[in-house]
Amino acid sequence: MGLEQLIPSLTGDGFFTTQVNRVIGWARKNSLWPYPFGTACCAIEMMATLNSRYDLSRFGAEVIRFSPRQSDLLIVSGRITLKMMPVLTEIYQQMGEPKWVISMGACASTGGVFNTYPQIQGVDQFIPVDVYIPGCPPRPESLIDALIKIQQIIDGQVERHEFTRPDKPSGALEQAKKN
Amino acid sequence: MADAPKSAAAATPAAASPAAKKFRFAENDLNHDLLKQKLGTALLQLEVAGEQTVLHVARENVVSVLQILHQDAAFSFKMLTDITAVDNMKREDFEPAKRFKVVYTVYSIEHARRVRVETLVPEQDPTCPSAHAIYKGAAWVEREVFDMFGIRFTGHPDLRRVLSPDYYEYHPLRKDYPLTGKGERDNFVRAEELA
Repeated sequence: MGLEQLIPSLTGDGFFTTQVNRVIGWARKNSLWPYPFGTACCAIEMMATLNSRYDLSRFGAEVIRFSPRQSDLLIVSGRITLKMMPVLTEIYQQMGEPKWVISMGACASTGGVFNTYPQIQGVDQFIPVDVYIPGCPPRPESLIDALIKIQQIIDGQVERHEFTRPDKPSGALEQAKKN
Repeated sequence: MADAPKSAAAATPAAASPAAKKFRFAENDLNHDLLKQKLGTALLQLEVAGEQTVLHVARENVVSVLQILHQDAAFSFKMLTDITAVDNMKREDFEPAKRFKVVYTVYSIEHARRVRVETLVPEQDPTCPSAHAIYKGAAWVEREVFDMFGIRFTGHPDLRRVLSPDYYEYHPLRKDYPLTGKGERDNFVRAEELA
């Protein structure tokens, strides 16, 4: 940063300069505590990712928390229905800042093949999502890749995207009126 | 393990013979005359659909017919497999008096027999007597039929929705309900609006 030249006493062994955000981000990204919101078959792949074969704890994210108060990464894996969406929104709100969201699989991201009345056509219509994982269900490697992307967002290597959505979520209302 | 191929070869001709292939259709050996005699005028029509006996009864007689099927030692249909319903709205010969059909499938563990009981429910008055007094397991399946078709079961101890949320206004398996819904899935409040 050039600070070393300005203040000579900062140079030498045992000192280095950096940014506070980078230090905190370094700590955060290596100790993510995920909240597993598993509602369908994607949750099985999520469990496989956590098991020893794929071993998500290599990335510091092995402490699965079943309380939103204790977790900072929400993994939405599976179909979200009409009855489940208020629950998911409440859990998202109960998580303390900073928090990140992974939308795992086709159903959580877009509704998948279930273009029916109870199926939410993508959770990003109601909660902000940082990383989407395609696949039906995605392989464990995809979830690991998503976790690494979350780490890059925390680290500042990748910019967190501005969350934008269309005014009317999926056009089902118009479709229903036509019917 | 040495004699395994020999026994397999011995089993093959037996399996191929017509006598071994023939097995008993549980629904076929129901005594239809006895059914007609016991149920009397409550039985409107006895039909064999596929391999299964179907009893068409009027709505007000459903409980008494189920009672006979359940209690009579000759039938002993002690197990309720399912209660479901059919919406006839999109049929060509539709008439409002025959809008819904409630279907009961009961099974006799003792005799290994199955029978289907069907009754018509009109559109103007979508109610049906509850089978809960005879089959305790009817409570939840009747809740499901109520949730999906809006057929109210009179005498049911606790007729609430079982799958849809309590605030839900529609009955989704009715044919006049659109497949993608009436926009209710798009009407939730977004997380940041609540915060």
